[in-house]
Amino acid sequence: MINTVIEMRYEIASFILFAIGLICLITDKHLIKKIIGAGIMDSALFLYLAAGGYTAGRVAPILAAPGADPGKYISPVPSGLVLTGIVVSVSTLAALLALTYSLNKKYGTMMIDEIIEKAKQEVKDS
Amino acid sequence: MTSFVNNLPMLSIFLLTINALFIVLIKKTEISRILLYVSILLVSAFAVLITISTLNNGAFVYVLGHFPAPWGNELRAGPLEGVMSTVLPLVVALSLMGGQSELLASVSSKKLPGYYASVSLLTASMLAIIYTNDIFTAYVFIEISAITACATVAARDDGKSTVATIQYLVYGIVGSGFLLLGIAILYRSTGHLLMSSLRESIAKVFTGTARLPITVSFAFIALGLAIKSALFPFHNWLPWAHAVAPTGSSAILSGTVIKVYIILLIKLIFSVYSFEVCRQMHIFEVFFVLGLLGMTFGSIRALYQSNAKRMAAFSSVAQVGYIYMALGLGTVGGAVAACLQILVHSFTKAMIFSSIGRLSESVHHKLDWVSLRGSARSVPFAGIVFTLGGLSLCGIPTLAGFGVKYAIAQSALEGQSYFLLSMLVLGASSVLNALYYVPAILNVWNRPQVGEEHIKVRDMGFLLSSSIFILLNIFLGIYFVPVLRFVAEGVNMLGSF
Amino acid sequence: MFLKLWIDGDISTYDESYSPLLAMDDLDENTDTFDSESRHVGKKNPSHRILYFAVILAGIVLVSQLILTSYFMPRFASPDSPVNNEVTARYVKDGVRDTGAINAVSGMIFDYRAFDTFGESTVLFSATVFVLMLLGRSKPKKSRGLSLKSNDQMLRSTVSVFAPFITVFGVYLVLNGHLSPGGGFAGGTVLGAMLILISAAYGHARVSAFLTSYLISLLMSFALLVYALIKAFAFVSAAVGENLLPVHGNIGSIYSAGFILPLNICVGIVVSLTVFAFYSAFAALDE
Repeated sequence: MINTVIEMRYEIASFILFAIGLICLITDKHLIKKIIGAGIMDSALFLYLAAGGYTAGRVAPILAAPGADPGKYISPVPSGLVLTGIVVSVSTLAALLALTYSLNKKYGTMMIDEIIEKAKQEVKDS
Repeated sequence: MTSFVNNLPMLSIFLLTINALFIVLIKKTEISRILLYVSILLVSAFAVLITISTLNNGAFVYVLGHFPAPWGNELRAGPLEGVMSTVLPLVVALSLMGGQSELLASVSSKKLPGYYASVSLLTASMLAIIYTNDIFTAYVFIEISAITACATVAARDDGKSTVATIQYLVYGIVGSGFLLLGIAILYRSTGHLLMSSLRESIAKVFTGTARLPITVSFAFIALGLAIKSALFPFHNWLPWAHAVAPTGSSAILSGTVIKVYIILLIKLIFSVYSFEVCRQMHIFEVFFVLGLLGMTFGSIRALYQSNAKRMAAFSSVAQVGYIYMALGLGTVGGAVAACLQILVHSFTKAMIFSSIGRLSESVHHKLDWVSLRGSARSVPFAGIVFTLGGLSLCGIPTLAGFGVKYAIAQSALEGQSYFLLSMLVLGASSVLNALYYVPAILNVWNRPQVGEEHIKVRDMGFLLSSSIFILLNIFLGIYFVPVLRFVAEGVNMLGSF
Repeated sequence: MFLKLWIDGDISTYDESYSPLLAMDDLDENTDTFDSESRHVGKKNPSHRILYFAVILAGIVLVSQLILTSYFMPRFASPDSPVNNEVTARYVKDGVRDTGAINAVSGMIFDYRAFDTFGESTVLFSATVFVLMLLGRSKPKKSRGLSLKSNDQMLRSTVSVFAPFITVFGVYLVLNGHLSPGGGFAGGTVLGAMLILISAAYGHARVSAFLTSYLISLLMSFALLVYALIKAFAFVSAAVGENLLPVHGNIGSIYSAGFILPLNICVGIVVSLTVFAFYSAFAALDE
């Protein structure tokens, strides 16, 4: 039992981080904390993907020569997926931050419930 | 000729992206708009060619690069993809045309080139999601569609638009997170990313120990796509985003963006996890129940909205519930009915949003029913468009909505498992739709309040786009049986891969 | 009742439709936030507390479900994981022969799965368009004579020594993407970080006088256009059946690997300019 947990340590860690990030993203009221939650959630997914690519005893796929032995190198695919994912995560975080700045400038507060109340007031008045 | 048509999906996506690049560089609004319309027309024309070619020669797979199936990346096109990519970009262009005057009034001219570039990238990403044969490519382009859709909502740059955008983006990130988790679990269980290779792999491992991971991966992928397409418990972002956006944006979002995720879901059900596997995972029951609840709650919430656009947004939630209910029937006919509803609702909802925008323009951009009373008498064409759109969603014969409801009823009859329940729900939802659309229609045609002055402005773009919408609506209403057979052929070709 | 009220147009109810999940009460008493939080202290609704615990419970259920799923999947670092299948075998065995790249990851993302990388660069471009659209100013501020904004002597002297090395390192990473770990993304990030460092040390006005947002979008669009044209050409020529790629060159030298070198440069430009554009859009607001 303990052995299995130690074997699956990367997966377990990534799932716990994913849940923490998700909960922060959904339930926190401070906008910056939501963004941090989104970052944690994305990083957890990259940890999960990258851990899936590792095979014991193999090295990074910088191939020495044509016709290399596949049994000596890890798969390049998960690294490519993580690369793409990181870029996408950076873009969404930047978009969120720009929106946070815009909201703070308009409403003067960083808490999403106050902002929503003020916005609903605006819609009612329009 | 055949070999050149195979290039067209890839060329369409690249054309729209390069178009966005030029729009950003050439900052003039007029030229941007012309570039956007021309490229969307070209892309739709390409899609017509693709549809004709695939009807004659069967669906094709286009290899991107020199490396075939499990090693390279691929695009796939069949009649279903061809039809979807003909109609959806056209709806985008026509919605922009219909909402153009309001767009120019509410978005500052410095932001308009960015807006048009975002719409172009949004259409490119929608086409890529429709044509792709690879699940990770679908994820990357889903992210593009999320960011660019937020850009179209946030263009108006007043407080409530920004709030709606951040809510939309947060829900979108949650959905994408679940989607990526599902893709990661699927990849680690099978080792493939291409849909054709995934299909074989899943068929092989599903009977072994990998049954739970495959089910869980599909659950997360479906959850992510359901959040992004506003299925029942996750629909809270939709009324905000679609109500405060400019009219053209609301029409594009309601009509095309949320549908593309459902198209991807249908592709996954048919080509990746085959029908049998999905049936064993009991996913159809979940879709049926949630679609039912979405239909009911969306319609009930729409009843007591005082803002016209919010009512239309809740009506979108209800119609998306229809699609999921049709999908949840568990038969091929149900999926065909779902695709037909996607097509019909895309331009019907665009019709409704454009006409609401036009009506509200004539009363100084107010959107509540009190101010909109009698507005149809100043802009009668907008009133006619709104009337036809509302009646179509209620299911009046000779209008497009009737064909959809008939198709759903017919597939429920074939399925035999939920027949009574589906009939009850169809009837109830038609009544509910009528309950909020008919008073709305009566309201706008009513006598205007004394002392209200209405502005009468001519808008050629609106005339043109709405006429095309009305023609499409009536065409699909009368000829829905051949169209249904046509879509069915497309869906069957999905399953054969 | 509803119908009658509605036809007469007198209904004016407004519904709360924002999700309670998005506005959960924060049970943390010591919230040090920027603005005055007096109204948040002492607001402990029991219903919010129940909702809070329900969310935590849902999180625990999610994690345990995922761990159970993981139990049925191949273990971490096991050689018979499905990841090491014939796809990986070909990437490793024939990667150098097919693409000319010694770095198999570069070969994979720029040749086998180049369309995904195109999508990725487009994500960066669309996010830049979004941020510049949202935060762009309607009137460009007149520059105050390009004066130095910060008086941080230590930062300035450090940057003046290290900036050339960082630039060369970034360029090296971009150009050697197909030969060693690195590539357009890593090198682009280093170059973008270098631009941010210079901007932080010498004042944003100086850097943004040269790298205006229009120039940034021009260079980025140009790089993305070159990428799209190269890849469209490659795809169409592959579909037609001819192998019109340039010769692979000597494996191991910089001039090898077909199109991977130009694509790396394009991606490096896009990434570095995106990273700097994100910083610049926010920094320009503080002036």
